[in-house]
Amino acid sequence: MIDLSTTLKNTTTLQVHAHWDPIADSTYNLHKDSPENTELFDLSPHEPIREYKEDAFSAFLPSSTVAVGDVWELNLYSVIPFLSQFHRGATGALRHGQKGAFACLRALSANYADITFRIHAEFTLATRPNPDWKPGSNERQVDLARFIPSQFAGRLLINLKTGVICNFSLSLPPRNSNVDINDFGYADMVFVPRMEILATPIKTSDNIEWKDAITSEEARKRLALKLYKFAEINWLPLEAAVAESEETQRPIHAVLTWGPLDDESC
Amino acid sequence: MGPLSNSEVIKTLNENFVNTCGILRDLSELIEGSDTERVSVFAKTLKDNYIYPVDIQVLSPEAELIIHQPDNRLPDNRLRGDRVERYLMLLEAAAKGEVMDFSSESEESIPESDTHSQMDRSLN
Repeated sequence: MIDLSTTLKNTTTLQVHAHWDPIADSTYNLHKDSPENTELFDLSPHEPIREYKEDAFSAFLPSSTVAVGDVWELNLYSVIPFLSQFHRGATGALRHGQKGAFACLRALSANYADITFRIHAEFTLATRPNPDWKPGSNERQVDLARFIPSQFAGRLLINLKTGVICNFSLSLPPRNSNVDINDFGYADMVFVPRMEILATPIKTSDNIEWKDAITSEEARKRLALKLYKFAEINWLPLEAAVAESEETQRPIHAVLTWGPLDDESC
Repeated sequence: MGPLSNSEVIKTLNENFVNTCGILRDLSELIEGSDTERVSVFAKTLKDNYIYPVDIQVLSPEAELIIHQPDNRLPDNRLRGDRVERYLMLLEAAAKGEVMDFSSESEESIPESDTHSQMDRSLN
């Protein structure tokens, strides 16, 4: 067990760079079906470079002692400001879907702690009055244009001896459909190759000798379990499922969707 | 919560089935790009039968379609327990290789244009 809550002793600042690629692929080309949408979805970082005080990263640390593999909930009010580096409309108050942010202590050595985290958030790009709204109606008063990433996956590597952050990154996983876009009622699934904020890594020893560790995949699974109970199902990629079905002679139960089941991009 | 978040459904799925979830556009890539012909056959069966937006299929180890249940045709009286019960009935039948069809009871399914809210309200 370790108490990480007061680990970040260093009071210096950390420069974090933001990268946000244009939409590279989509199902319906909603993002460019009108001049207004072309402008609306022409997105780039609000602040390409921002300096953070190191204690801002305490938002990703647990408030009590933890062991490797433990998961704790993050305060959305503390972590969403990192996402405002992309766009000022960042919010953790999802209109639909599974809200929340969690972190997991993935590995620990005498000198380092490696934390994996996952944040669900979306961006309000624009608002306008709903023309169909009337007092007492079920319609929403305001229509939104939104950009809804599947998730943000992140990593924080801390030097426990110096209290310095050696590595920080937070990114949209680059799967082929990783963002849902909404244009005042119309929706599309799109692919954004890179959407990431990251600090320039500080050199660490090439091979950290972890005293205790779980794999990155296991850490991601533990985070998913906090957000979706159905993550308890032993899901396999289709290729692996076909091989296992042949071996065990058990039938394949397949859930097929227009967008991914296990994130917020659909 | 939808059926896939029900403990009994999860237990049934893990004990009796090989589970996979995927998105429609990935199936096209597997049909054309998989190194294994067997995977292509499964992907083609799933794609050919897919019904928007959330579809449930159970295939035998020989890629024969045993159960096909579009989620929005799973009877829904807006009672979560009812959907769970129906889902369990489907799975228990499929595990025995039996066919069960709720299509004729589909009138209470909920039409929904917003994919996001439909996904939230459906299986997960």
